[in-house]
Amino acid sequence: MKDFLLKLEDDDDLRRRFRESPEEVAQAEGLTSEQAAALASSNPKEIRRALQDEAPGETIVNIVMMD
Amino acid sequence: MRNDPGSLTIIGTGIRAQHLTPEALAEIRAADELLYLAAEPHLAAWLGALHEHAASLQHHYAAGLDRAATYEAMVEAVLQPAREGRRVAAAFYGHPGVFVTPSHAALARAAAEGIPARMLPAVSAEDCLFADLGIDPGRTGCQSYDASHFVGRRPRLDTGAVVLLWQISVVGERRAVVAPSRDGLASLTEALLEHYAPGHVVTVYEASPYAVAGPVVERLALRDLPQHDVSPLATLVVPPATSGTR
Repeated sequence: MKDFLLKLEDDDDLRRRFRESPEEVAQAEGLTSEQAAALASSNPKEIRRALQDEAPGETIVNIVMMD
Repeated sequence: MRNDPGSLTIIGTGIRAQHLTPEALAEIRAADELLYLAAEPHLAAWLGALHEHAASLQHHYAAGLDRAATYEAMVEAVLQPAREGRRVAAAFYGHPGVFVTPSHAALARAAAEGIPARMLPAVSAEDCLFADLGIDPGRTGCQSYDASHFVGRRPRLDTGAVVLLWQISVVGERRAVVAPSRDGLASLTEALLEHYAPGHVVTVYEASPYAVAGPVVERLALRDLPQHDVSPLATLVVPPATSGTR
């Protein structure tokens, strides 16, 4: 899922196709139906939960940069 | 160690990859080393791929560790290669000078040591907020505080202005944490209830770090904030109090 998000950042055509058919395109890229649904929700909280399920150790702890 | 001086340029990535400015990208490409701190795993991977000699600063964080120790480690990590004569680009997410303690500390220390250093501007979460929520801060005025500062110092509020409170998930917390502080949210709500009615509708906001997602925009009554599912990077937007809300 992380790799797919990375591709979406760089690939205008993929982004356009995803916006037209999010779940189809995500599953064609190898994502699970749950991950595809999270992306299709367009909700950062849902996407972050799916990322945490995929790789708990990679989750950002809680970045706070102010004293 | 080389004889010619190194340098440090602090850059911001913006909130999404597409926010990176051409000026910042040029600085990354010209640098000998890229050190970076991203807020999301896919953005960390993207930054890591931008430069042959790229390294994350993320490992300096650890749950439970005092943030001051984390910041000090980051400052030294970005300065040491510059001391050794290398041109360093240090990238922080968002705007590198907004709510980023180690960037300012690194610039100050570089100046004290005679190392050429500068900061480039970037897209901040506040920039995204104004765009996503359609708020023009010039219309009513705008007050902006770190939420912990607001609770601890209780600055004078203009309830006719928009009030932005940042880092609401970690009010009163000096360590890196893995979950929002419920006690902190309760303290923040209590402080706001001195100025606003319990039913005053506020917005919990988070700019989207994903190219294909919208922002988090959750409207709720102020009284319900302590129980709300607040994400780590959430901001509270308090609109002006209007007649009938108190």
